[in-house]
Amino acid sequence: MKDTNNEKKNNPHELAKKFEVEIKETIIKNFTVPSEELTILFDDEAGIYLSKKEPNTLCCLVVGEKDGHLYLVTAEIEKDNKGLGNFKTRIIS
Amino acid sequence: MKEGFGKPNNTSENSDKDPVILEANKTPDKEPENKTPEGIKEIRELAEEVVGSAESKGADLIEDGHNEIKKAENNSGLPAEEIAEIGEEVGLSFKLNKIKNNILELFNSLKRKIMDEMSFGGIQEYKDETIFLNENKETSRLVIEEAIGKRNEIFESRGLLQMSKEDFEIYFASDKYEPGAKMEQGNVGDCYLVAALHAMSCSPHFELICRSSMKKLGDGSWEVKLPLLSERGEVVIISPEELLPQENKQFSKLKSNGEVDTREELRPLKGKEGLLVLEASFIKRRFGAVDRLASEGGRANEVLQSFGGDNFEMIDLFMEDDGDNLAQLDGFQMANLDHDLENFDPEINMATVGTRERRDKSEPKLFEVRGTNMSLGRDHSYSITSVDWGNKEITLGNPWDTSKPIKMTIEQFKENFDTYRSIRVNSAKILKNMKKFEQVPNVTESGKSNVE
Repeated sequence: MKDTNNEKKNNPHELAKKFEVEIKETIIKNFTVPSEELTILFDDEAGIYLSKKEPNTLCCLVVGEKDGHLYLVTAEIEKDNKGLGNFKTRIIS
Repeated sequence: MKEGFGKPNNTSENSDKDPVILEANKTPDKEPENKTPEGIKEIRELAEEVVGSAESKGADLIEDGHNEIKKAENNSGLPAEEIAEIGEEVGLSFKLNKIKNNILELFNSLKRKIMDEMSFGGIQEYKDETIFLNENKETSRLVIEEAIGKRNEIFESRGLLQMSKEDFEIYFASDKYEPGAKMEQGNVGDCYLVAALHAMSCSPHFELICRSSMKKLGDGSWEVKLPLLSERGEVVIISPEELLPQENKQFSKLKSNGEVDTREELRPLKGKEGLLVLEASFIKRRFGAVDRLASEGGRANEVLQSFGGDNFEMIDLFMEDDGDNLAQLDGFQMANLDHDLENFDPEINMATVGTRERRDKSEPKLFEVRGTNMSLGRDHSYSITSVDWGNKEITLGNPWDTSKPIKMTIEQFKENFDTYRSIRVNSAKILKNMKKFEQVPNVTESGKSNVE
């Protein structure tokens, strides 16, 4: 169990990269922003992280390059630690 | 399906006691109709379709506008240079694009509202005492706060912070007052500047922007790069003497309003040293010297643009001719203003407002807000610190003393103010402007090296 949790901890960026399309689509569906204007903050350590406030939740910060908004996309990590589901989003700033 | 925060509480054992109670002025004490998952889905799809179609029509109208402009330009027979000059002067294209952005923002906001209404436990904007949510609301708010903390971590790790946190606390941070920094306008007519500074200080970005662009030097002077947080910013040096009161060259002479200037000296604002530096640096950059007389009378949005550069975007400006007020805006402008106020978020917006000028010398400099014992200054700027749309209340900061906020209803606000200027913080630009640098040792005033 410990190893599984560590695996999750070490790989939030990798997990997010696998689901880049779904992460962006969540924003597109809710805010009508074209995909090419969205940048997921993969290069920042704090850009992708596991939430300490909601268990088994991956959080991604995404910048709208044209509209200037910073979006938060959250997703539940599935039991196999390889999948993400229940994507949600809102504007942070 | 819209993905708001919070999960449907459809696994509750007491499913007949749904934990969501709607706000009294919607459908009080009653389950909304069509709250079955299928009903919700149908309504959402319909809402998306209708709003999407309206959005598209709006965009088409703007496109038609641009095409008409192009046609007129081609038919005018004027040389291209002249066309470009006129175009810039009249600013039609810019205005059309602004309308387009406003339309899209309005529709996005409408879509979100519809989706939020339909969701079982999404992020709610209603007061706690009128809405009881399932446990996911509390969790959601914690997740949002966590995300804001992470955003600040990114800014910290990306920015070359010239000023240490310790120095920011010494030179900027107020001891007790929130929101925004405590300041009092001096005896100079720069309320627009103080209001803009206060509006800026209410933003959570204020600290990082100042720390990235300002540095106290060994001889006590300050180096400020304007716009703040801009690599191409102009460096302005403010000496300690420039922060002191200065002799008034117009003392005992007639002012433009016919009154005698009785001020022997012109004093800067009262507040932390960093705020005085910001005041002086705007004046110096604008007028070539810290000429406090020259700085009298101005526009707060000019100040915000000067400080923020492309990190800030002007989003709205409402002005009425003398004698009118914001309550007399036409339908479309009023809808825009209401949209702005409803969505006002200090995380994203900074706004200043103004009262109209005195019609003549005989009109008092102060006037009462109808139905209250509150007084406002004529031809005076204020900052907006918060908007409580649910209760239709707005809180303003007065440059005369920002520690005494002024609360009034939205209706009173519209009746008594004639100017509203708002800018939006562009997080993408801030992140772009804060490139990754290696942290450098930063020497604080105490002489200690403070490697962050």
